[in-house]
Parts: sequence; structure tokens; C-alpha cells
Amino acid sequence: MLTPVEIEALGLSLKVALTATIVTLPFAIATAYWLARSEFRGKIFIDTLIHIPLVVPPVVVGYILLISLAPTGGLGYWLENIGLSPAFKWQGAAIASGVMAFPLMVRSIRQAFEAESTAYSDVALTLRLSRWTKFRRISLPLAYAGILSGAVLGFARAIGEFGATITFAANIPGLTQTLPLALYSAAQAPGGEAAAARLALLCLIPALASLFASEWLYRRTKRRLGASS
Amino acid sequence: MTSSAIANIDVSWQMNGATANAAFDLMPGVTALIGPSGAGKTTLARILCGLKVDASGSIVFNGETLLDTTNSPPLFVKARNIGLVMQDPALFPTMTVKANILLACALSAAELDVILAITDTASLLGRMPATLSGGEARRVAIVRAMAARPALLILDEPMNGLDPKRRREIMALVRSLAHASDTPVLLITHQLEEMLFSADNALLIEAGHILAAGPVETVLSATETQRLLGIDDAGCLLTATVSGREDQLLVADIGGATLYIADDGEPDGATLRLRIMARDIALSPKKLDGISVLNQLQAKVSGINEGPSDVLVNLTLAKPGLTLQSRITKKSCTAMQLAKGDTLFCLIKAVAVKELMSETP
Repeated sequence: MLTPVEIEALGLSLKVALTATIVTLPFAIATAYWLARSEFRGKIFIDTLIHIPLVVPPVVVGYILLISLAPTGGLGYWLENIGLSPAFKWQGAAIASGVMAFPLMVRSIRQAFEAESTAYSDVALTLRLSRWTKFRRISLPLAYAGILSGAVLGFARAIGEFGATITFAANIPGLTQTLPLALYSAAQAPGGEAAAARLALLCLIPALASLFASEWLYRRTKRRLGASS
Repeated sequence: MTSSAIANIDVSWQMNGATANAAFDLMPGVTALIGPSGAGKTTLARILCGLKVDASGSIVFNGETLLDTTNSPPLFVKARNIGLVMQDPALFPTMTVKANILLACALSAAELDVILAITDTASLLGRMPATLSGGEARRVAIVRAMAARPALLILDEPMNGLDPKRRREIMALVRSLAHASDTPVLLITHQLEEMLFSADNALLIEAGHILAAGPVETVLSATETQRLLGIDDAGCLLTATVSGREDQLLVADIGGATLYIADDGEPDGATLRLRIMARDIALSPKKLDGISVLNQLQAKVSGINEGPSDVLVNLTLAKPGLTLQSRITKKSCTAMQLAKGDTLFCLIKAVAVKELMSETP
């Protein structure tokens, strides 16, 4: 049976990762579509900027979030005034996880948009479909598998997020202590090896469940669309 | 621009390091853009639609300027209202056939029903594109394009990869749709058969240049057409009207003269397009009795073209003034002492007359 600390950490991790994934996904889809469909000066710069969280230490991302959104900062001060400061709260953990998951989601979804046959775009143009209709009715459903894959990758990244979260949201049991942070605390505590091992196993459950669900949905979609898709 | 033309096109583009220039008038009905692979057919279609933008020149369609690179920016694809069905039907795979068709439908329910009936696609509406055969997918793609009510429909080799039966179906369908909806169709093809079965007019293209244009009969007889399309024998196209039946044969009127042809069940009054190959016409100085050949048409020799191994004789029919061609051996030509102006009888077996298309009144 799970201990109350483990249950709390698991629940918080799921809440943080789901929130991060759901909130980040629309932005990731929009960014991926924009990058896949547009050619403009400075695209390489935007592309690099989006991928920064993948290449810098997560603690750096956490630190940037901290100085940007902490109550002492400009935006953080304003958020604090309206009661929405995310620093040292579970929402902060979700923001840190979302930022870290964002480039992974964009990469996966962008590949799906780029794989769309240009014939569909040509047909959509000659049928005089609006850009929004073409995106909503054609591109988005065609990229379903890529979006799903991006969401799962993002969720898995969010649930395993450590560095940025501990820096921006801290490691407060019951408030911001997600599974990886609880595992870190257990591993640091004298005699906490058994608890650490249990938490490590626990970390695997949501990750495996999400991968399984993703594969099942992917196969179901493939069956529905047939081999030609 | 001729008075009956619906579009005047004069466009240039770069093609294999050279400048291609296609200048032609587009007529109502079905026009075949025919030429060998790599002749620039698809590129020209994309220029007309606005999908290829690095072209210069002018396109005036129904009085509206779609392209005039010397005076104004080109109209965007959506503003041109030209439908395109490509070799790849490109049906959107995540939605049903019905959703594909209704996505950009500008027709009333009654109008759409007519098109669904002509194309025999009503039973496919609930299916997903992946479950359709090649022919079904092409038909649905054509319906989808027609449903958007285009001012011109371009079909880019819509019969590629289909078996002969399905090709015949699509060929008949193209013509029926064009005439039922009064939508001009530009049919891109490299198959002579498709031009003969479907088109009213034709444009012969090679290396981006229009080499011959006009009614199908005219383009067919052009020497460039015979060279480019590898036509192994000359022949003629005749338009005939079914005037009755006799001894299980159709009696077809070709404008004063009568032809007996095999009965394919066409109703009286139906208009037929017939093709007679030069090798299927024998010549006789007088009418012959007691032979199996039923059609003996009087004609005058209008030209004699000697080839390396045989002779192509051009003939003008006495009554309707139509032309036929007969290919005979040099030996026969010498024996008959043929000369321009001679009056002869063309012997044509009923079963040698090929019916290409029919339209019921």
C-alpha cells in the first residue's frame, strides 16, 4: 500500500503534469503549425529560442522563471498584486514543467504538420477553404498522431521534471513536492533507501500508462483512417 | 480571342532552362490538353489555378483578368475559382466521403443530387476514403471539386492507373458532368483515347508550347499530334446521328450519307463520335454487289501521300463533304492508277467503325 506521502506526491505530480500538458498543448500546436507552414526572416532564431530548455540545465530555466515571476520581479509583482503569483506553489511547478515540456511537444507536432502532403494544401486552396477551416478540418486531424505523441512526451517530461521545478517552486511537501522531488528528499534522508525505491517505481506507473494509452490511441486512429493515411 | 472562347491565355515560364510559352484560347465544353510526359501540362494547369506563381503573361477568364504580370499582381488561388483534381485524388483521409464533398459545397441539395447521380457516388457517402477503390476515389474527388461550383474544372490525368473499364467510366463521366453543369473542363492527358472519348476541343502541348489547337478532329489530324503521340496509323473522326436500326445494325447518318455500324444499344437521335482507321478502308473504282462490306461510300481523291512502304489516300465524301483516309499498298495504288480527282468507293466494314462516345438527345 502507498503511504500518505507517496499518495500526496503522486496526486500532485499528476495534477502538475496534466495541467502543464493541457495548458501547454494549444501553444505547442500553434507554434508547431506556424513553424511548419511559415517562412520568415528570423525563423532560425525563434526555432533556437524555443529549443533552449532542451539544451540548458533545467535549473537555469527554473532560475529564469524565478527572477521573472517571483513577487520581487516586474511580472511577478503584478501577479502577486492580483493574487496569482505562481512561485512556490503547485501552479509554479506546472509552469516549470510546461516550459520544459514545450520544445518536445513542438518538435513532435511540427514533424506531423510537415509530413502533411502538399496535395492537401493545393486542394484546400482550389476549394477556396479559409486558412482556419483548412487548419481545423484537415491539418489538425491529420496531425492527430503527432499531437498525441507530443502530448504524451510532454506529459512524461512534465511528470519527471526536477531541476526547474525545485528551483522555481521549491520542494514543499504537500504543496510543490512532486514524485521526483519526494524521491530526491527520500534519497537524501538517512534510511530512506526503501522509500526512495518505492517512489522510483511509482514514477514509472504514470509514464508507462501514458505511453500505453498513446500507443493504443495511435493504433485505433490508424485503423480508422486505413493504411493510406 | 475568338468570339466563343471563354478564356484567353498567354503565359510563359521557365522549363528545363528554356522559356516555355503557351498561348491559346479556351473554348466551352471539354478541352483536352494533350502531350507527352514532361511537356508542361501539369505546370500549365498549376499556373492557371494560381498554384504556380513564377509565371508571366496574362490570363483572362470570362472577362476577368486573373493574371497580367505587366500591370497588376496576380489573383490568388481562392479568387480564381478554378477547381483542380490531381492525379492523386487527395481525399482528406480523416473525414468521410460526404464530409469531403460538403466541405466546400456551394451547390443546392438538388444540384448536388444530380452530380451524385451522374457520378454514381451516392452510395459512397458514408465511407472513409481509405476504403475506396482507385476509380471510386477519382469520382469522389471530381464530385468534391464540382461541388465548389468552379468556373473551370481542371482534371489532371484523372484516369491514370485505372483499368480500362474504370477509364471508360471516368471518360463518360467527365463529359456528362461538363455538359450537365455547363462547367468548362480542361482535361489533362497523354492518352489519345481519353481525348477522343471525352473532348470537344484539344490543345497539343510539347515543351511548354501549344503546337495545335482546335476541335479534336483538327488536332488529331495534325502531323505534330501523330508524331508526338506515336499514332501508328491515320484515321478520321466522324460525328453521326443514329437514325434507326436495320438487321441488328445501327444506321448512322453522317450528314447525308449513311453508315451501318455495330449496334451498342444507342437510342435513335443519339449523337455518336466514330473513328475509322485508314487501314480499315479499302478502295474500289465501282460499287460492288454480293460482298460482305456493308458501307460503300462514294468519294473523290483529294490527295495521295506516298510513304516508304505504302500510300495514304485522302478522300472527300461526295455527299457530306467529309474527309476520310485510306492506307493502301503501293502495288494497289499503281494497279488502280490512282490520281487526284478520281471518284472511288470507300469500302468500310461495319465492325471496323469504332464508336468513341455517344450522347443521347
